[in-house]
Amino acid sequence: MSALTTGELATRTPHPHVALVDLLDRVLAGGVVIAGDVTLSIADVELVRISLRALVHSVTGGIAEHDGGLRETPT
Amino acid sequence: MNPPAGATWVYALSRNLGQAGLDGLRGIGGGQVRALASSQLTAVVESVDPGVFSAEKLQDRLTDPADLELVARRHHDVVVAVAALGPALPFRLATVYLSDERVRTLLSERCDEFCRALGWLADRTECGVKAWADPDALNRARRTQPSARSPDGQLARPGLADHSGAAYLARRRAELAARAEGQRLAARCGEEIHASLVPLAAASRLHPLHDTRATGEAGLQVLNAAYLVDSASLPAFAGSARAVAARAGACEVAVTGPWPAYSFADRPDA
Repeated sequence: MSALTTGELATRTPHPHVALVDLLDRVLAGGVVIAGDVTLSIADVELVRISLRALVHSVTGGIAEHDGGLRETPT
Repeated sequence: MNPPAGATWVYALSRNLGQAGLDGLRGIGGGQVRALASSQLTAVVESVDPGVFSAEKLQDRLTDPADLELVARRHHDVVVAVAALGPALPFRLATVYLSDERVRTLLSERCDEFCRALGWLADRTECGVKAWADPDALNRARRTQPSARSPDGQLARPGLADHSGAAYLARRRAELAARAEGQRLAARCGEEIHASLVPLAAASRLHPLHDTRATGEAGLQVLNAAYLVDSASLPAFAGSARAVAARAGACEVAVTGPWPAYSFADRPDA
């Protein structure tokens, strides 16, 4: 499994749930954000947390309850 | 309070896009996706039932895993279809206006900004790169290097037969130090990959790392990033990403895309 000696890397096979994770990264945290004048305004950070919790539930059947489990990228 | 008379879901913006390219395309509410033009810009929208897509109902739907997936995928499908027709500026999921007229007002008010963003995104595409590392393996590899030194020089393992309290504490301390060192090496692996890819891209954005306990993946995710690259050089960029990840000691890498430029839609001047 280690790429340290061979330089060979396993490439992950796309998995529907994993692809959904990537999709949610983009549709919930990306895209043009319009402030005001929309009927719907969602606090994106909260929504991402909510949706990830939902996603975790759907992937693991609710095994992984982990507050604070979301890691932030270093800034 | 009376319910709003209408609701217009916005998928993306494009330029000079006719209705013809959208014919047959169904959106989130199951309706025909429409081109809504205002001067040079075209918003791709759908009329949705304001009762079903009220803020409250939508919040409920988006917290339900199955519904969230459905909404996200349908939104994405339309955005992908629009991006296939020309430069597209994707909108954040769940951008809903009270009327077409309000969307037109938005287009005219922010025309310059949107046109600049569309110009910047033309002939470019978003590429996702994720990498995973095995902290233990990185640590072992480092320890076997002749130059490797333990941080405090005190990490030599006491013999396993030594059951004294002091020996236990020493072992425990060594384990914790090794774990911390593995985490540090893993984080550095992700930083190295990112630093190597930034010069190859027009722009980059770091997304929050996925918790592998949640996704069921092995190892530790060390990079979850999006890069804006020239469409023509996407295959070369993907190859570079794999090579760089291997060199940095990642155990796995995943390159995704081409994506519509979700991660760069709000950065027209980046």
